[in-house]
Amino acid sequence: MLTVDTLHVRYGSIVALRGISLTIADGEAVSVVGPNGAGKSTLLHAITGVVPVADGTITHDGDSLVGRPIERIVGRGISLVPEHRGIFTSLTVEENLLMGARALRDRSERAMEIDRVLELFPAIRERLRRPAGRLSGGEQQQLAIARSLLTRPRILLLDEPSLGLAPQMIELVYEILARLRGEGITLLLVEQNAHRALEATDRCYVLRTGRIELSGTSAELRGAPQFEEAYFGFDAASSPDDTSLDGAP
Amino acid sequence: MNEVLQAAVDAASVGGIYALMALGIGLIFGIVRLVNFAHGEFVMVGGYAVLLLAGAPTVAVVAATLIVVIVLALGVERVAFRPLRGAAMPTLLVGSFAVSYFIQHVVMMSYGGNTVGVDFLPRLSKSIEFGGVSAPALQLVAIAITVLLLAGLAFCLKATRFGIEMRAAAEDLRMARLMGVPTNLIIALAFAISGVLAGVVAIVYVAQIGVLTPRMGVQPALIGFVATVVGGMGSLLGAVVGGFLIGTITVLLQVVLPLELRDFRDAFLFGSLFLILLVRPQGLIVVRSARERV
Repeated sequence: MLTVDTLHVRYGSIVALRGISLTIADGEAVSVVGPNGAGKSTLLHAITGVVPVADGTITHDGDSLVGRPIERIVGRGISLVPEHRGIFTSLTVEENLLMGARALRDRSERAMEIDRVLELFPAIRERLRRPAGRLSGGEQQQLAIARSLLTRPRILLLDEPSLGLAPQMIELVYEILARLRGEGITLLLVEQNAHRALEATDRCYVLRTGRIELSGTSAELRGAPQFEEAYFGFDAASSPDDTSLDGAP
Repeated sequence: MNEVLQAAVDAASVGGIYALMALGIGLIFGIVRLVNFAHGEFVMVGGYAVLLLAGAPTVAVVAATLIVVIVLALGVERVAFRPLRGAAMPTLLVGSFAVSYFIQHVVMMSYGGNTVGVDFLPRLSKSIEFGGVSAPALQLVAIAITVLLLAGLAFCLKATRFGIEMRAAAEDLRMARLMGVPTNLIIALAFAISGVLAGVVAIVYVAQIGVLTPRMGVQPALIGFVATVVGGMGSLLGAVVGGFLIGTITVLLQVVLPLELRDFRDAFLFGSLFLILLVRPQGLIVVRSARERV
């Protein structure tokens, strides 16, 4: 269980998160949606220790994560697929995968695990020797997810996995997420593409200007007028030009 | 033809030393974004270690010098640079200069500021002739050591787990941490390697010039830094290329400049490097570091 309680994060004088509280149970898939600058990436960075917490608590199975070094948090099975993928472009695809599998000391176990994960990503398997910087955006996203899976995560945090991808690739990424969900991996998905996020998760939080504006099950929120209002910050019914949540700013 | 071959040997010798300096500086910059001007003082302390151990068997001098410089590099990382980790670039630069001056003055307090002579490996100063080219044996040994060291380091960076992690950390330290790479260990390892590189430069440099001063590391560190910039900051291959390029330009200028202008060789050297940077301000080899918004 991951619990975030009244979390505040600041960048100097700018307050990025203002009292965020949320929970994610084991095996659950939860999304956080909201417009650009809402603080979604910051939330994931705070959970993984990338940015310091100004106030509030983050606990995983009852243990505080606040103030812990990033590598210790990763060691607990919390893995982030960052926005723009964070691929090591100067390393080969195989070396990127080895970075994910670094905790596995036994060479044959490492090879088996890489082989197992690559069953999900056949396009990557064909490009193991290629520099990762030469993969397409969709292939890089697959590599980023594959690499994170090799850390054997208990919770997988995904920051805008569909960003900048062609529609076909977005379909593929979401198919992979559905399979991971089926395998019981806990997912925390950050997305601007609200409809996709609702389809892919059990529950959803709407974040705007560092605050949670709305939360509920994905089924409840799908099509609910207050969902669009919370996302955009105005009554959607009074603004007929901005009724679609797909590709929201 | 012989002149070309002679110039090539000279360029490989001078460029090799610059490449090792640049690699030591570039490795640390790549991972912690710190321009370690104290790297020159690592070389200088290595030189004084050779002086202290003069008379002992060569193997012992070499081993002890390398150990002294590695310990110094690790100590500087732990005491001075680790507390500054993540600080702004100007803070890191001032910290780096402070460490550099501190070490210089500690040595000055012990040995004074004057030049001290040291006669290390005198038998290697004898010239060897081959294919119409004459070069001191030490120059050839220096080239061989440089090649072996660069090949060994390239192998370690490419084929070992720590090497892959170090390259990953050099490209994007935060992402490497998100893969679970232990920052302190990988940075300490980088400093240890930079210590080995500085120690080797110290041994070769002292054997070549035969004199020591507390400021002897300043010029090589400056050249090493320039080589990393010309080669492309953050690129280890770029650092090596930059080092060899500066060595080659230095030797070429020595050959082509009229006698009365040779005293001003460095003006032409840095002028040509400036021109290179005008054409490629990002350096010869560019590493695309991942950046993401928060």
